[in-house]
Amino acid sequence: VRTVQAERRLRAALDEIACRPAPSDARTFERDLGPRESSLLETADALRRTLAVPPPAPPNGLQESRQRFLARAAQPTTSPLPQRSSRVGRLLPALNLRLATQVVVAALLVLMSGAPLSREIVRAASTSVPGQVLYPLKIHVERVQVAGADQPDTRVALALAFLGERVAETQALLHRQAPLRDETRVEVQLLLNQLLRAVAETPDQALMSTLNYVAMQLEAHERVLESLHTLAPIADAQLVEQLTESLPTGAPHHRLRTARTHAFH
Amino acid sequence: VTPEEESLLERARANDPQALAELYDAYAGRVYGYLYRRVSSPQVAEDLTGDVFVKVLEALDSGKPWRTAFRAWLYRIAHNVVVDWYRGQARIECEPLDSWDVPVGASMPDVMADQALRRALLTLTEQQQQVLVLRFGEGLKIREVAEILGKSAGAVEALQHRALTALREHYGGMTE
Repeated sequence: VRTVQAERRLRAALDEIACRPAPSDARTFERDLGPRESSLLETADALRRTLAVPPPAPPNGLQESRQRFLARAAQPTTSPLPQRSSRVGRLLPALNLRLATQVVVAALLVLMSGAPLSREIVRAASTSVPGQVLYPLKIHVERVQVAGADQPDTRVALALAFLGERVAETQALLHRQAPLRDETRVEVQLLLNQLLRAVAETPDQALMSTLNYVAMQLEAHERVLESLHTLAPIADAQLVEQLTESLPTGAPHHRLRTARTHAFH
Repeated sequence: VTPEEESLLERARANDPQALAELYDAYAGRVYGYLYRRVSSPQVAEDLTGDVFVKVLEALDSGKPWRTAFRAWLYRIAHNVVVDWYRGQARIECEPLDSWDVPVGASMPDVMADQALRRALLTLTEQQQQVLVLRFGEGLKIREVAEILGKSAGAVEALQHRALTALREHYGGMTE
């Protein structure tokens, strides 16, 4: 009985040491315990105080991993060559324009009513490309996401992720030998404007890491677009060229900082 | 869990970008601290912090979010990330122990005792270190540690007892 009671007291004392809010010099675990148990508590207490020392500040202030996380969160599940897994997505390209309009209106109504079908339609829309009936819904959902983000870095991450979507869609269309659409250029320009506005609103302490991240992402998008130049037929080559040139990758820090300065004046 | 936290977790579970950003802000520091205590390198700990949160998203995307306590679920992911990282290391390189931070104003005997304890900790088995860091570094309860490690509470208590006994012996040997 004495052993069981001693074990119970030891367990309670270890819980106190482990879970108390902050380690202090106050010994709250002095109890009627033998020397072996007491020395275990001493060791646990010393460990608690040693591990309570805060770790050194992360080299990048956890900002790069935050951006990576937010960019990944903003991506639906679109691959560069979107694969339609849903039944709705597979059927829709075959529909004619009038029916397509009806489907979009119906989808919006379903969205507003919050019915479970809306999730399936939004999922199908997230893998659509320009020219398909659900594409306007995809763009609409993206805009709502950007408008709903109240932190500048969230908007930066979303704008970059959606720029990546436009690049992936362009790549998908060229691989399918389908014509590109001018609306991609317009959407890219809108996203760049949103990106610059969000950069302009970034707090000073996070600006450098944000600029580095934006520059890195834009360069990655540019590399993909450049790789598409050879793939694009003559009719589409100019649009690919325009998309590539619209990305502010030449001295991006300077261009983004200029946008920030203009935004404040 | 407060109602605000509950609401945040619910929104994050539904992939709300704003809620995910808030979730990151709320937990990234704690995850980084835990990872640093396991890998002893700020750079590696920061990289692994990003990996942990990407895995959170992957779990949400694949419809496998947390079922019980979010915090324990998150530490479990972090634990798996650390295990994967150690497996991928041909040779583990830790920062020299002398460069580890010590409390401001600590006396020299305190600093030496602190470093002796850290060295002693590194002599334990991976699981013993894991239990002690989660218990006395992160302040988790026995049942939370059990959930993270996939063991029973009794097994974790036994592991903790063995780990503390081994630590006391190594630590005592170093300070004598």
